[in-house]
Amino acid sequence: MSAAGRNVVVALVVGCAGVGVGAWIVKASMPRPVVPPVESAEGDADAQRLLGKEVDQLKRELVRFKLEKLSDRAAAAKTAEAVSASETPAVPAPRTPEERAARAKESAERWKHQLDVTFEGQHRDGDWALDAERKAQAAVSAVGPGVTLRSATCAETMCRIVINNQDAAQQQDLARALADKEPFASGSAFDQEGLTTIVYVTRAGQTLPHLDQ
Amino acid sequence: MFKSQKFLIVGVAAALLAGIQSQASAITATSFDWETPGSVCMPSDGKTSEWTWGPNFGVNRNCSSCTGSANLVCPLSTLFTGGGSGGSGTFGFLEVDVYDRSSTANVSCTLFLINLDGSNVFTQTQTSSGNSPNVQLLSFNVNVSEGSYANATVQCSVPAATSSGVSHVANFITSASTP
Repeated sequence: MSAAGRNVVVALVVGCAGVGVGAWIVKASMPRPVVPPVESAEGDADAQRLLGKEVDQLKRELVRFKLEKLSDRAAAAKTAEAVSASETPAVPAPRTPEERAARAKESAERWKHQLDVTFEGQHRDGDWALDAERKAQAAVSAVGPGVTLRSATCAETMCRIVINNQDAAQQQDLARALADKEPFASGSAFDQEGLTTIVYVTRAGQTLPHLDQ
Repeated sequence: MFKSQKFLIVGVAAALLAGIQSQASAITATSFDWETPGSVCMPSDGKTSEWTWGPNFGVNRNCSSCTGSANLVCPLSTLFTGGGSGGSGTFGFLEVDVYDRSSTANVSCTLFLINLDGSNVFTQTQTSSGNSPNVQLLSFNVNVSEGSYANATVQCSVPAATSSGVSHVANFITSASTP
């Protein structure tokens, strides 16, 4: 093996060690559970008594955990209030309906771009893709007249399905009509361009890429 | 110092930093959970007299003359600030607690993330299985930025009561995280 190759191997090993050190830091920073002292049990009565003590201890732990969680939430809410009061956000919150609509449109366009980029960067998982495309075709056909499938293309973990709608009212109902059908049920993002609906569908067990802020 | 040694030092430092950074981010990310009772649900298909609402166990379809399934719409809209109002977090997970006591049909719930103009941004559906006296958890792995939608609504289809018991939509737990 060349010197450069050895160095790459060493870097990888040390990288793994870095992950381990990080995990150790996280673990060390977490509160340790209080473990009740273990007593020697002799006979059924002792075992019963020990079991009862352990159950009591667990109940106390649960209450403590719930109280800690509530306390964490209150602290987080206070922090959020303090931050919003003291800091000016990088992008000011929209004030008017027009600003809100513009922000929503801009977010939708950025998300669609991310979905397209991710989809186009994937290779095709033949068996799954073919099965998902057939199911998409069947689901769209079942919606009824006026709704036609223009294309259904699946890759590795997502599909892009383009549907033509005859009118706007029908287009509004499309998501509801498809939401519980395969492959749409596992998660579908909808985008509209005129009377064309583009649906990005995620493979079961996967999620769609979310919008980067 | 040889060039390959420099690469080694830079590589080691970068790998160590990346490893520690990935673990440290687990400490700094903030996660919030909200619970919403099933009693917020409303009938969405006109079968208004078939439901019973309660302070606990949400809403149930406890009527002897009911048949088939009926739909509820359950707005979770007050919990989120997305869709143009500047939400910077991520809607990570939704869990719907349901009781499926029907021997003939399941409880099915669909999450709708809705835009300001009422159009659908995202949907996902989960369905219970079999029937049981115990609660079943319908888990949604959502992972959608709060900046992408304006509100969240769940629609559930609930079967009529059978000899196995009455079906409920009991509770919603939403989990979001901020960067």
